[in-house]
Amino acid sequence: MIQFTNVTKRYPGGYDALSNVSFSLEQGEMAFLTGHSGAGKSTLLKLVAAIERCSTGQIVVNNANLSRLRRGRVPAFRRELGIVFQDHNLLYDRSVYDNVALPLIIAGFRRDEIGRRVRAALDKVGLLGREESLPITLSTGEQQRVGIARAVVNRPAVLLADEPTGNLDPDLARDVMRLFEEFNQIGTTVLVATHDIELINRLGHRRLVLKHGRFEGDTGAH
Amino acid sequence: MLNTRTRNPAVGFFSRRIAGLGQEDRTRRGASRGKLQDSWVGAYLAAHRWSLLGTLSQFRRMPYSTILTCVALAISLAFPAVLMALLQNAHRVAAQWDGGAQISLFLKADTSEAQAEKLADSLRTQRDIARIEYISKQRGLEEFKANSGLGDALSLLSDNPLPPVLVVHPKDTRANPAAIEKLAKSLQSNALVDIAQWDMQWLQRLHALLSVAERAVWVIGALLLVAALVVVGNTIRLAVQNNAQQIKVTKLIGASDGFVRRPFLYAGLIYGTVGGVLALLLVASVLWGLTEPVRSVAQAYNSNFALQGLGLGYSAVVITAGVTLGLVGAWVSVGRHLRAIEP
Repeated sequence: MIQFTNVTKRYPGGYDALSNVSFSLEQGEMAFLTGHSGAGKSTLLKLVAAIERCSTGQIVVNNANLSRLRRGRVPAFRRELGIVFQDHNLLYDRSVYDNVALPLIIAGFRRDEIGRRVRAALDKVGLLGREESLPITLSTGEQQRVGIARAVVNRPAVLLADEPTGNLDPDLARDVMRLFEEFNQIGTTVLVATHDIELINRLGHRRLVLKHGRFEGDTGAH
Repeated sequence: MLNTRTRNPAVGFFSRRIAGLGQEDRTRRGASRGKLQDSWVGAYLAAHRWSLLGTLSQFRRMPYSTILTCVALAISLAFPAVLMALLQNAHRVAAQWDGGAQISLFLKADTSEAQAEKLADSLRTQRDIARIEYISKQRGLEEFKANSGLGDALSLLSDNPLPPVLVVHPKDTRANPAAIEKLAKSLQSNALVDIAQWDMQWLQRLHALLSVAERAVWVIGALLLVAALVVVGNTIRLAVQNNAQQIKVTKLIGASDGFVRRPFLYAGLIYGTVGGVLALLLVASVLWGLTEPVRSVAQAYNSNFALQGLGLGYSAVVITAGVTLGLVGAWVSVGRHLRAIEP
């Protein structure tokens, strides 16, 4: 589902954010991406989401070879992903409902279908009844859950999360991780970047470790 | 909170249903997608509702720019439109004068009555001539006596000094004074004609002036429209920059360029429409303000001429120009600035 082959990402100026990284994540797998800050976790996720292009190597996500993905095909590719951001990236001039509905609107779903799915997704993250609220009136944890609802409402094949628990207290963090596990159980491939080692240890799952842009370890590799 | 929710059996049941749906969706993705999108009208409406809401929130965030843009557009459209309306009215005045355009053919003094009648008959068959009036020597003298007040003095003359006259009323006079001139010159070449007189040079000059003025209106209009385009483009540029974060997020979620562009095109469309309507109101009020003065001038000239408005055709042109300007300005600006905003 996600396959990196000798991937290097060099930024202008010669700084290698990732060097020679190879791994593969099968469909329906769940893995944590860990490492110190600056190890390249965010860069790796950006490469997966086609936000950045790799300098050398090959990345295949969801059967799409990202080095050959034309610019015009990127939107369609991203619609198959769900991305959860550390800083939520919500639209603050839109209601919670509209935020969660956006991926469906973009994908061209019918309005009644949108309503059904948005309510289901909000119910899943425990925010049913807050549809009409503006994100700014929600707590950080609630905003994060709106972001998660938005990421999963389109039932993506791949779910990416960049430090999803970074701003949350331990209880909320555990709830969020449990949500990811639930989505994983219904077949979604989940890749979560986090430095919350304690939480990872408690949950198990496969672990990809980055250190200074290099692949340091992979527990449970196939 | 999350825990209590997931522990709630009803919610749990619902979640399992979602989970089931998800599985089905993944295995039969293509088929189920197709089904969900079969009502493209509904999807279309949902997407456009979203874009319009985006446009409105954009207006809410920059109300002054919005109003200023509409007003600038309106003035840029109204100024040439007012000039055009005045020109139209000037043309109408000129046309009233054109109606009197005629060519007097003073025939040679020794022309017999029969010759004159024959010439008149042959001219009547000519296509560019509407009507021929024959004023015989005798009738000319009588009219002259009656109108000039010199009746008694004229009766002293032994001979009638007046030539027979054919008054030619050309067809289509208002269209083109040059045609009248051409006709007059061709008539002049007739052997029986002494002088062909058409006192139309001043009218010709008026028409020339009007066409210069018309050209000037087009040039001024074009310049103002370019200015309007720049104003719209600049406002849209600001809106794009103000929305950089939203644009990034929307692109991250998989929005196409078209989807991201749409709220801004809507904004341009609304600027253009509102600007066009405002322009028409401006034109109407300017012309309304001129109505009274024009009427008193007309009265001084014994005319019942009244100022006319733009008319449906030109009003439609103003609105269309507004909409086009708004859309084109937005399109160009968004195209230039959107590419710079990538997640």
